[in-house]
Amino acid sequence: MTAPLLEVTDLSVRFDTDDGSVHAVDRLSYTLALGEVLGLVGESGCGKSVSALSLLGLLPQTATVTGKASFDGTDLLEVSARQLRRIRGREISFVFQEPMTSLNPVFTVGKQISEVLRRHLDLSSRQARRRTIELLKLVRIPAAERRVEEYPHQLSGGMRQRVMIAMALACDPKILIADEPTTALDVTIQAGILDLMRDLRERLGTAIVLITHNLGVVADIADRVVVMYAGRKAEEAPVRELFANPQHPYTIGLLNAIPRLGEEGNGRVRLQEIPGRVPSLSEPLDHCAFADRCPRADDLTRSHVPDLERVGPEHLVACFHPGGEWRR
Amino acid sequence: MSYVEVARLSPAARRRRIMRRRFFRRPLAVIGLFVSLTFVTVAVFAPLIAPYSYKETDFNAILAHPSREHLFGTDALGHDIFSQVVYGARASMEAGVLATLLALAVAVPVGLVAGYYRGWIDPVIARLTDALLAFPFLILAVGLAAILGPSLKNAILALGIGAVPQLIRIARGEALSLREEDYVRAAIANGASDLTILRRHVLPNMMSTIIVQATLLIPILIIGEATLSFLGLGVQPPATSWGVQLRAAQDYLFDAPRLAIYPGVAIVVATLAFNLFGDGLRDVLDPRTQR
Repeated sequence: MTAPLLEVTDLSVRFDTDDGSVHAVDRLSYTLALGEVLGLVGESGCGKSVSALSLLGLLPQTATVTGKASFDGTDLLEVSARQLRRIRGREISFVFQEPMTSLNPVFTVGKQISEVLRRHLDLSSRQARRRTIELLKLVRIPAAERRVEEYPHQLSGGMRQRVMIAMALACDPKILIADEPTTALDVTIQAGILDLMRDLRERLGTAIVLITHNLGVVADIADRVVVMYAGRKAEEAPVRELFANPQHPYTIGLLNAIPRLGEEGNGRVRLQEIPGRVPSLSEPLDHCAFADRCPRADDLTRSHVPDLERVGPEHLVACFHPGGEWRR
Repeated sequence: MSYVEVARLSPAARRRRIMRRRFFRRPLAVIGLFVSLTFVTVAVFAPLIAPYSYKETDFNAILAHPSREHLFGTDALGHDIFSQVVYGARASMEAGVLATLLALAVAVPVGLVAGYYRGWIDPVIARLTDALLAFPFLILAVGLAAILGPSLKNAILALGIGAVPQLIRIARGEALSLREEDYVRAAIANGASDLTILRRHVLPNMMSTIIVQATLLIPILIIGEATLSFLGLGVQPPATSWGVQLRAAQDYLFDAPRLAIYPGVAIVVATLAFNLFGDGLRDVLDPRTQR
């Protein structure tokens, strides 16, 4: 295997608030290869978004970020604000969750995409315009020549998310970080956006970090999956391996919680949930973070923190009692 | 214009059309606009409109009643009152517009910096404006004018500076909320510098609020100029303004009340017109009042 494009090592993020500090991300490590799609999965507040935002220095000042994130020979956590601005949108791009509000209402979408192009690539306004239309076509916006002149409020949510993706792809970034890009969209549009992202990866070779709480989305497009729980990596595996052979009880819980149609009497199946709540992250835990909600918890889990263990060639899990089956 | 033609307009033009139509559906706002424009025109073309110079005295007609020669009569020195009122519009419009521009030029950048950067600068600026806002606007302006010395230029300076704190507060509040917008976050993630974000994302989005505030500030400053001149802190005779005329009219309030009535009515109508115009603009531009 060649050297990874992005290598995150022991990334920790701590927020210092008036009520003490919160350890949002705890020693997270992962790698991303050229053209790979990595799924970052977990429930709300597990640190998946925070870990991604911290890479580009997009967190508020109350955050303390430690660890290493080497990209193209530089440590993203060490570079100057100036260099970081050159990387943002040029080398590593972000697509956010809220397409409805992520565009500036007073400018046309064309102007907003051109702005990014002119900033990073130093294009003339005519060149930028031509490229903008190309990009809108690339993200499959019909009648791109007319759409460039439109304001965000004239576009639907799905169209706006396509515009956001076009903007993120404007400078041919090496990495696209998509933070729940489909959560705010309805299901048919979701499928279209995922389809688009898969297609772009194939055509442009852009590596994608896909942050989501939806394992269905991950199954659809990711190559490899990192499951996060309470700021830590619970399990990591190639996507097929994860679905075929999940090891961590949390992963299994997530898989069981995917709603499905039909079966067992008129589809009246109770959705399987994971009991309990996410632990407070205000202090470092001295036991397995999942212990309170885990059916396999015992004295060992309640007194020790599990380390990541290798259970397959590319399969890591942080659990004292890995293995098991899931209802499919 | 037919529907087909409307559909062919660019979105920006269509938006402007909608705004315009929304504004012109409000009769009071339209009246305000036209009356304000009339006052501005009168101020600009005062020498062409006034039958006499504001300095010209007619000693054969002292405190004369309205007549064909003197439409509104004359004052104690034989000045033609109509001409005085016409020239008075100059000082008022100048003060209203220039002082507003001055206040904007100072307040908007300061408010932007405070609201966008936060840090230590924000509480400093915010508390400072709060302290200044503790003084009523006119007291502040009178104090400043007294320090600067009486003249129209200094009155404009005093009024402009006096209006700065409230505008800073508005600009800061807008910047404070706009910096949290998703499109600002998206712009940062796309590598935009602070200057770009302020210029392209924060400022344009607060413009409608600022324009409305500025329009509503003009009548306040017109009254402010009249007040300062009335108190002898603004325009100095023989130059004239509505405030100067009111001051001179004091001595003849019972013998010739018209001396006070004409400039007084001019002040009332001008400020009312600008207020109606500003209210109409707010209804159209300010998203918070849209129904």
